[in-house]
Amino acid sequence: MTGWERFLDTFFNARVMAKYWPDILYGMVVTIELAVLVVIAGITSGLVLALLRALGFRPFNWLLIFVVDVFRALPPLVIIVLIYFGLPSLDITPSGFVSTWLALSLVLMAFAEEIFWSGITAVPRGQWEAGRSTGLSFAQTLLGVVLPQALRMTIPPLTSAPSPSPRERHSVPSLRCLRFSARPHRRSPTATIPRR
Amino acid sequence: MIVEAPPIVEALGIHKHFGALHVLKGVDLLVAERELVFVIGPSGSGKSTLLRCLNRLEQPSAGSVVVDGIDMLDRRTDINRARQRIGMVFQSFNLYPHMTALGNVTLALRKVVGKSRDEAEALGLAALDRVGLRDRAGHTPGQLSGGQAQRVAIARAIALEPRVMLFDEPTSALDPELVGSVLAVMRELRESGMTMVVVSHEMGFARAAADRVVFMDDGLIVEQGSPGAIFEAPQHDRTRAFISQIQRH
Repeated sequence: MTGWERFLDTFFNARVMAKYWPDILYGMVVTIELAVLVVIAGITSGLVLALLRALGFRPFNWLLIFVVDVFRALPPLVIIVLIYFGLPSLDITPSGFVSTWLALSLVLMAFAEEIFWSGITAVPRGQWEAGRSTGLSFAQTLLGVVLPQALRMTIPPLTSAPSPSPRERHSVPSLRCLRFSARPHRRSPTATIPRR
Repeated sequence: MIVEAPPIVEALGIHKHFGALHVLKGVDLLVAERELVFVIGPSGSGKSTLLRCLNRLEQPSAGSVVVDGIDMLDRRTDINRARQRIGMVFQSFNLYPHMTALGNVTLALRKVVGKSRDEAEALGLAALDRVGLRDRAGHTPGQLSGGQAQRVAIARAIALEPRVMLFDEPTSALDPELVGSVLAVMRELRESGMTMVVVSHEMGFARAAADRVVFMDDGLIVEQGSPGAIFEAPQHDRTRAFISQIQRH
């Protein structure tokens, strides 16, 4: 076998490709499902948190900032592992798919909250004052005047940085491993090594 | 001219602190119905802050504000209802950039007054007509000149049929050739009998239209009187210094 043949055999092996393409296709479908669900849950919850943060209730905001910073700082895989192996101790046993969805949604929620919040704070103070001076309530001004402008400003950063879902797709293979792992109450990291 | 009717705006003993900064140091301002009060003074004298205390955009640290019989500082007051009766025009227009001129004018009519879309649009067009911009109803603020934008902002305020209008340096951000169009609208409002409190440096307008000029410095009202009295025969050194300063320009 020449070097070139070995290269082709290693990386472009038709037999291996034929054997595994259904799995890869299935994995792709799972990835897309997961990405869609993560984007929906992450963006929605991030927006809700940013709106709650606008209420300016300090103790709540401190807690919110702490939680958001934690989820932005931790590697998503760590959060997946924490949820998948940690929650069974509390008698909650999410599947691998749910664990990954939850973890990546929390990460996206954290990033989205920061992006929406920066959009809300970027709307000039005068917009608030104009709204309030005409008798609009805080909520009416937030939703009718400030948020539409904030959302326009957040579209560019959101499209380039809903990073957690696309960027962390490499977490998904570990999800596939988790899916076929041992029964929940026996979950342990060593039990998840895939055996094919 | 101080009208002998009960004042429509009654602000008494207003103090305002911003942290360690004491911006208003006990200001009394009474405004009679249909009166046009002009507030002048050097920057940092607290005139804008005073204006903003009248509709509680700023919460006074102490004092009382009663507008059209409503105690603005009472916790039980529905501040959103109360503000509907007090129109405000800002230096930087503060139009909603994502809406058309008509959308700007009708938002509060629909959300606060509870008008239907059709009713609100009819009233909004009437208000735009009053400032001479009915034909700009479909334009967004970005497509309007500064003078037009400020007139839309005035239309947004008068559409709610306020009892009092507050103007916070309405022409300061405008190119000189656009100032006249805004002042013309303000003059028309004045002639219709609107009660107005105007913070501005437009001394020509003050002479022509104001009933009373209030001079503020360092958080206090130093002196007030008819435009003639304040501009021609100011009693206080600080007023004299300020008047001569601005008249040199």
